[in-house]
Amino acid sequence: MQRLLALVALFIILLNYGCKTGKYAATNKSYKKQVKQFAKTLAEYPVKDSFTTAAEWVGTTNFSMRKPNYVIIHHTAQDSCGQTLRTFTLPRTQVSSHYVICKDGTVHHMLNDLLRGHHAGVSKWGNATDLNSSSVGIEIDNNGYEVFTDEQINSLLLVLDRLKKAYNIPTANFIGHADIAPGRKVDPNRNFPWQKLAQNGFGHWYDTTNTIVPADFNPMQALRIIGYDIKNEKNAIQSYKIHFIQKDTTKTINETDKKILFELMKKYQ
Amino acid sequence: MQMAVLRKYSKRLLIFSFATVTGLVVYAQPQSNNYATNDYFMKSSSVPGTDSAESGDKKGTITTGVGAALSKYGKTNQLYVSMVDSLSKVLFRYPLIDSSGLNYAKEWVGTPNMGLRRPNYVIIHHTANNSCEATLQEFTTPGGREASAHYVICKDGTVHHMLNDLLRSHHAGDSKWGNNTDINSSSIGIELVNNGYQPYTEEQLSSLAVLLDRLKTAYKIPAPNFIGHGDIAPTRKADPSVKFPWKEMSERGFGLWWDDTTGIEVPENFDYLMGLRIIGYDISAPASAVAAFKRHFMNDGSGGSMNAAIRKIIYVLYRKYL
Repeated sequence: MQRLLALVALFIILLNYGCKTGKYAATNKSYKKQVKQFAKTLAEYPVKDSFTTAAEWVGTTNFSMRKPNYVIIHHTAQDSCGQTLRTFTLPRTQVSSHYVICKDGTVHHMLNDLLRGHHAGVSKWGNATDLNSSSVGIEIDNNGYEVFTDEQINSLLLVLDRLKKAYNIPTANFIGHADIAPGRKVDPNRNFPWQKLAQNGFGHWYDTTNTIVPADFNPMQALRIIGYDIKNEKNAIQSYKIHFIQKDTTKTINETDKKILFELMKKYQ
Repeated sequence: MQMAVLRKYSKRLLIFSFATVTGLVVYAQPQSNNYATNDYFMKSSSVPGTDSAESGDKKGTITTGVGAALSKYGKTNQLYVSMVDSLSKVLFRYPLIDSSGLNYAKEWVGTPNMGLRRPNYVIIHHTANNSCEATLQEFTTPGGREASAHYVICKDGTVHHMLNDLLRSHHAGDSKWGNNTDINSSSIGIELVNNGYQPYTEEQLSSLAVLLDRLKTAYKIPAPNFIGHGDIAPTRKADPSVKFPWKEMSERGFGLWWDDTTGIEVPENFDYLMGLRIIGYDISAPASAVAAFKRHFMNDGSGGSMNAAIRKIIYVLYRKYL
């Protein structure tokens, strides 16, 4: 009888412990384990797996951690923050982002800024082909069609402000997932307030009141200067319009679009 | 509220940097001429290692442990190890302290889907001096210029791998390529020992080709992203010099080159500065950008003057970068 009681007590304790450590205890543990592995990789010395022909290893004393230089904004295209947390904690999905911002403005910081998130996928911006390695990814909870909440945008502005200062991220380098993967991605959707972000110093915007476009202006060249991969011209145009025009996302360029492109190109030079 | 927390965070950062700097100062103190008698460095003898002196084949053998402690660079090698250790500690912080100041979640949820940031560019330099030894010394001097590179290639072709590829070396300085303004964070830096005027040696170039091949494969670095220091800092830098064989490198898949330009018609409205910007050059000082282009793609050190032939080559290359 006493033994049974002890067992029950043990069971209750275990149950309690489980609750305290929470739903994500196992994946948090896996996070820590991986970071430990990374630390080991970085600590390898003499530097292993390399092409060295010197008899003696000489390490430099002047170095630091690789930092992000871009911020990529996404929408989750899922129905809830909980669903996204689950997706990002399943190792088999191999997808993640540094930040997830829920509808009520709650910010989940899921990955150290100095580590590489898996959010960009196959993407290109200018000559950069490994955007995951050079960016911070921010996912905003949104089903892909709805308007972003004020709470989300307020939280987002705080995160962006911190990132911009911490890593000296240039104004031009706050961009969307659709920008770096035209034809494959359309997020954040056209309800995203890029103009408001630009007013706060995150990304560029335009004023075309006095714009006169030169007769020989080349819009595709302008798109490439901004950063777009123009291998598929129509897709590049669409991504540009999701970000900078928004009310019209057709795959053609009219006179107004040209004016805007001309103004933007000057800012990205 | 947010400011207060930010202040708190920056204070922590300050403390952290201070600790690191203090560490540097402590380790940089000349403690003893005879390293073997120094307690701190004696500890390194517990690191198991091989002694290259016994090995006939120089390739790939590296001195560690007692050897390292006794050697000239034993001290700075120890500093390398302790610096990596403190950098790794930043990665271990969780819940992530740098998310403070926000309406952030009560419970921390980490993602297991992650990696280490990798290089996407290779930047080639010359040391502007004649000695491998002087370069090794400079790169092992904390304080001062704090410069470094991942690799140094001596005139005899010896390759020194001075920093783990996944860490950020300080070789690019103030630089820009396309929209990228932190080239150090996204590149590998390679220094060739060369005074800036002499030709690069056969041995250096063949070692370099082996190294570039390895880097290209390991980090999937695209062919256009093998560039020079002068390309990313046109107003400040002119290395590698016009003697560097970019054409031969491009034939091996490292960097782009132009083909025969006979029969190429450049459209009348082609703006060569836009062309340079698309290749990657910062065109805020146009003549410097032209000079950098000519140095790299024409082995021509005559500066920022333009003519029709140069415009044609810019046009041909720009189309490859589209």
